Amino acid sequence: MNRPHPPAILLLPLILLGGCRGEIETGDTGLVLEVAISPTPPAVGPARLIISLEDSAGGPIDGAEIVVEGNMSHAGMVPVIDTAQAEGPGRYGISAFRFTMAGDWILSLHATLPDGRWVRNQKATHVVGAMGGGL
Amino acid sequence: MTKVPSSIGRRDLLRAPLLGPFLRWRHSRSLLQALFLGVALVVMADGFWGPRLAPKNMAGVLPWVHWRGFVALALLVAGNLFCMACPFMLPRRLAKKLFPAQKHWPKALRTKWLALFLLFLFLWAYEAYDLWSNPFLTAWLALAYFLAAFVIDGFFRGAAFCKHVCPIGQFHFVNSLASPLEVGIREAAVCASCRTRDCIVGRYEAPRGLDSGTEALRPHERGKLLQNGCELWLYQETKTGNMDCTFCMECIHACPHDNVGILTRAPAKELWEDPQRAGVGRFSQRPDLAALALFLTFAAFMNAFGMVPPVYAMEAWMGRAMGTTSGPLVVGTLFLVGMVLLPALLVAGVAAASSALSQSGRTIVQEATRYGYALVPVGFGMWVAHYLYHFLVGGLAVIPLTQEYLAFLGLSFAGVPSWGLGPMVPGSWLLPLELIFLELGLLVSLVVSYRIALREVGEGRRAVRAFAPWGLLAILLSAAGVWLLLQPMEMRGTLVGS
Repeated sequence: MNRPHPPAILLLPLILLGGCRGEIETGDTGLVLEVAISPTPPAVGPARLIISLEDSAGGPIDGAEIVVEGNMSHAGMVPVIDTAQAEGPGRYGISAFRFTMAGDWILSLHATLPDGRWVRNQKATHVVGAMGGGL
Repeated sequence: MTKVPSSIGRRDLLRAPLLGPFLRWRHSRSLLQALFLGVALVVMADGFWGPRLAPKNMAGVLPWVHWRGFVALALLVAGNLFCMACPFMLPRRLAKKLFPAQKHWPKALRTKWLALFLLFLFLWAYEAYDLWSNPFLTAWLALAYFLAAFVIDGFFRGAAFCKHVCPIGQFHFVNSLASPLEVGIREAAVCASCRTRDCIVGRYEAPRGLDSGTEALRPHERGKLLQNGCELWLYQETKTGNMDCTFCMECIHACPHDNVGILTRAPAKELWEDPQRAGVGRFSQRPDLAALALFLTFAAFMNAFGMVPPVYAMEAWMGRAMGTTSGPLVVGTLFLVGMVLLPALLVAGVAAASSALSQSGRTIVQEATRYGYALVPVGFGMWVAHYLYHFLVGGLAVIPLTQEYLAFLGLSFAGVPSWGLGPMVPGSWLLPLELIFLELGLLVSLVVSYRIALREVGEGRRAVRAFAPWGLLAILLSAAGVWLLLQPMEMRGTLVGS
């Protein structure tokens, strides 16, 4: 009868270790990163993202690099990745963040400050509207 | 008994270059299972402890994008290859070593009714709890599968889990009825002269005794088991087709005459034939099998219906009408209506019409049990269209995910994840491809239902009358499929809180 394969057994710890990536960390707790979407709810196609970055006292933070990644809740769809532009004190924006399909989206925001601190946040949204046929 | 050699005009995969020697190698299946076990462990580890976001988790990507796509492709171009490489078989083999596993599966459960119920639960849970977007629940599902296979086959003889319980296996059994490959015998005359029947009882250290004309020995009197026979009770000489066959190749390795192969055949032909099948019986006398086939056919369309906008309006209306906000309850009710009640009414009506028009004299159940299998191809076409859509849209997404996974392990040679990877074909190809699969399924369903009618009532008008209601139902299903495919699609799932 067949015996267990030693190489497979040796790989086991490695496999399990890879699964310990865990949930994404949120970064510096003294930073507040928020996003609003216009229109709400967004439709398939371009939408405006309005992003604010503040410290815990509500003071605006400028000079950050903010990247937004939009993923659909169903795996296998290509994410939409865009970088926000500064629009005012603590204000950033993406004028045409392109939602490519209707359904549930999760926006993951990552802001990196000039001093190296960083913060992440996620926002879920439902995108409405029609686009093409095909299941 | 004189028979024409069974494999005339049929190609044998075991004799193909490269692939043949690999498949004939005794450990080929174990190797495939070990590989898939590794994949299953990755899925479970990432599902339990990895990111919650499905597209960033192996448990979100591998089962629901790749596994389903591979399954659809494998069934379409080959056969039940997933059961062949099923990782859940390794714990059940361990259970067979650790426990006596001598109990017989209860007689009352030796049908497909339990498996059909579990399949319904599986599809309901998938939709009600958005399993495709929930890596944690997906990991639990995989773990539950391993445990169930281990416990059930630790208690019961044979492959009770595969034959009577596994919902995924039933999906493969039914849809592989339309596949182009089957495990079968090469020469009928060889089986006719065989006295040992190793393909079903297994091969032991001591010969069975029948070949030498001495008194036959019982299995426990024959020393160590060297090679299992078929654990799903499919005796090769009278085995027909793919129902209940896991492509485990035990019979191939057990046959002392090298008379079992993986043979090509006319796809779907077994759907209109109705011989006495080893371990299965006649299709026409198995209402449970017919119900399973019909359930899977209608489930293909309901499963796809869950991804288009009209379903939300319907669910909202049902929630208001039922006075509940419970998603699982609403989905359960919707599925009960769409996969069980409505199909039962439709099939009963069609069977009554077919019976009356052809004056077959059969009851509704008898008619449905004979003709119900004809709808398998159109359902299979819908499954293929749906599953291949996800695979073709996101098949390459596994590359950046693997890059990220390996980077976490410090294996940076894989490079920076390229998250832009995903589609395997241009988007404009998708709808035409889906429609081709769906309509091919319809075409085969029409052929099968007409061939059944010819066999049941003979040629002429009666055959046309018997066929017409079933053909109409197949066309109706196909039209529903076209409508579904033309709907704007929405990818829904568990929303991650902001």
